[in-house]
Amino acid sequence: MDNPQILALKKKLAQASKVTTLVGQFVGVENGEALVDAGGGRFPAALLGQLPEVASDVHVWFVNGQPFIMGPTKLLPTTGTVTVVSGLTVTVSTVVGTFTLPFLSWYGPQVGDVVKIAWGDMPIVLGVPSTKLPDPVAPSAPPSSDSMRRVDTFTAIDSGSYNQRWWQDEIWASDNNTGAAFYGTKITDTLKGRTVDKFEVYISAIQIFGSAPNFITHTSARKPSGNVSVANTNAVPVSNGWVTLPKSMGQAIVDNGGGLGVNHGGYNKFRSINEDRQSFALRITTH
Amino acid sequence: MRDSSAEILTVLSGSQTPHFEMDVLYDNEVVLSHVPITGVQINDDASGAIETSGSVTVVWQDDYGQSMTPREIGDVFSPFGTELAIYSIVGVGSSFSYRVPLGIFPIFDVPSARDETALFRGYEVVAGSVVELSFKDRFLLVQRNRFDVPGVPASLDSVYAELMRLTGLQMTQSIPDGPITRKVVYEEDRLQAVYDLAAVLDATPCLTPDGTLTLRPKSAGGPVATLVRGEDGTILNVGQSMTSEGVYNRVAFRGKTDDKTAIFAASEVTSGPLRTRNDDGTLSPYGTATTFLTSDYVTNSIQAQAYVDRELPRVSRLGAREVPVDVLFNPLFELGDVLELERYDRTITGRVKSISRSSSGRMPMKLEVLGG
Repeated sequence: MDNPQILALKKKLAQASKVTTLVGQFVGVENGEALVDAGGGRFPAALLGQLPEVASDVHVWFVNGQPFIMGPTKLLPTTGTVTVVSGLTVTVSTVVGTFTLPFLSWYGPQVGDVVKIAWGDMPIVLGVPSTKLPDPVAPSAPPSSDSMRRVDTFTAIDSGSYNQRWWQDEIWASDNNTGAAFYGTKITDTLKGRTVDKFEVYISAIQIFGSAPNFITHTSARKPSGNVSVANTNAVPVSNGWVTLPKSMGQAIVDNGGGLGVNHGGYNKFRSINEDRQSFALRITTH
Repeated sequence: MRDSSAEILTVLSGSQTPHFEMDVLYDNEVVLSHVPITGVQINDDASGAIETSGSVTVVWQDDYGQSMTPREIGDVFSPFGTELAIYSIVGVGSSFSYRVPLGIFPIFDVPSARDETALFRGYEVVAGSVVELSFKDRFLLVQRNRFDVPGVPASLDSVYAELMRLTGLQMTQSIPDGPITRKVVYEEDRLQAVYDLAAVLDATPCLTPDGTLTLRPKSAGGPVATLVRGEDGTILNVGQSMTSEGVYNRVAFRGKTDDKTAIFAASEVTSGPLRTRNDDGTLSPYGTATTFLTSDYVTNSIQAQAYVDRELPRVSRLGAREVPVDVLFNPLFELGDVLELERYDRTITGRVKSISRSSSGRMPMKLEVLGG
């Protein structure tokens, strides 16, 4: 059923090495082989490095079906500071917590000693070094490439004019009409919590005449059955192309959702998104 | 199902000969608008990481006799940053016409382009250019933009915020947000990271027709439309096919906790013909088919068990029965829609898995059968 190219590809893929990573528990040694419980089963696996502690968690990798014990899953620090000495054990504080461990028989531990620890199948404190070299400096964090500034152009998904009803798709600002563009929820979904630096609208006009259109913000994501709500009214003279509006209007849309409209003024007519997909597109610069 | 109005739904209840046009965008600005296109083929397929791909042919007659064949990087139809906003025009004669957006697609490839020339007063002028364009959806750009350095989420508070940071796309939130469960290292494949993050919310990432990123829940919702047969219906043909490939009756999960101890969880079908074993413990007729899941976002065995229990019905039932169905062209259906299909003896409920749109009035789809 597959075409020959896909079959050839599948063949190639089948030849690629397959690695599956699991976490298991080291069980012990049987017949000279390390046994591990992983993925719900118990099986022998090749061991890399020294023997882990029995019942400790280990990384188990299957490489082409062959299991390998790659080492312990927990961080095992090899240096620490002695905090408590009690008989034949010491409590050592390390970068990942405290451990209570035995020590080499010839070593006389003191509280405050910086000691070397050996792990594996017999964890033990080895003793103190003759002297301490200066601490190496950790590499600094790589620079972040995220820029805070965004410029987004949101195109409208619906447009119309309301005069008793939504009677046509063009956006009219006239004595009897409220025009509005709708954007879904994408503006607030994308920019919520950001501050608007610049707010522009793309004007694609059929007619610019008389008073400047009264731009408003509304709160509808989609065309409602009745008229849209009206807030943040600003009369701004327009020409074709990008026109800058007060950024408080953009902030209102970013914070509360909704979109841009025109409430009277004019007689100005703007294209529907059917005629020009850019009509009433919003370009919002935020940080 | 995509947004529309009552008028469009009325028009689409009848037969349409599909017409398409496109706006050509560069840097989110319209470069050419209302460009007529032919030879349209747009395929949506939920099984791919990039779900939509397709091709169109532009026959361009330039007002000034210039060629539109792309020759240099930066030419209008060159596959470097130019995007196509493709529309299906739904209309009735001249009385009603509306552009239903199908999506915004970056040009991927220009497989063929040629100029037709003519002699005009002794000069050779380009009478027209024929340019074939193939395109994919905007996830192409996400996929190309591989991580140059390994990284981790900037914050674990919000899946949406992290998705936006990774893709740079605008967002339409379709389902409630949630926190990211663990700092998982992104290695190289950015689109895979996007899919993994969306899985935290039990969803698949996809794109809306206006090019914003959104999430489609993995569980099926309620039916969005009923397709009927007969004179007033839109169903042309319903097939039937079955495969056992990709059908599992046991799901096993392997992962690790924050303490780096192993998590193992499994879930299996215990009754019905897909049961893994009979009541007396012997092997069932179908036997056991196990699929393995793993996710770095699962951090304890309770989450792991919930994960396998959730996935089991999907892998054991979905895909088991697939129905190819031919319907009348409809630009509103999208992947993941649940549809009811009226049959002569019963009603099938299915989820759209693939859609193939072309200039033909017939639109083949594949549905995963949920019931019936």
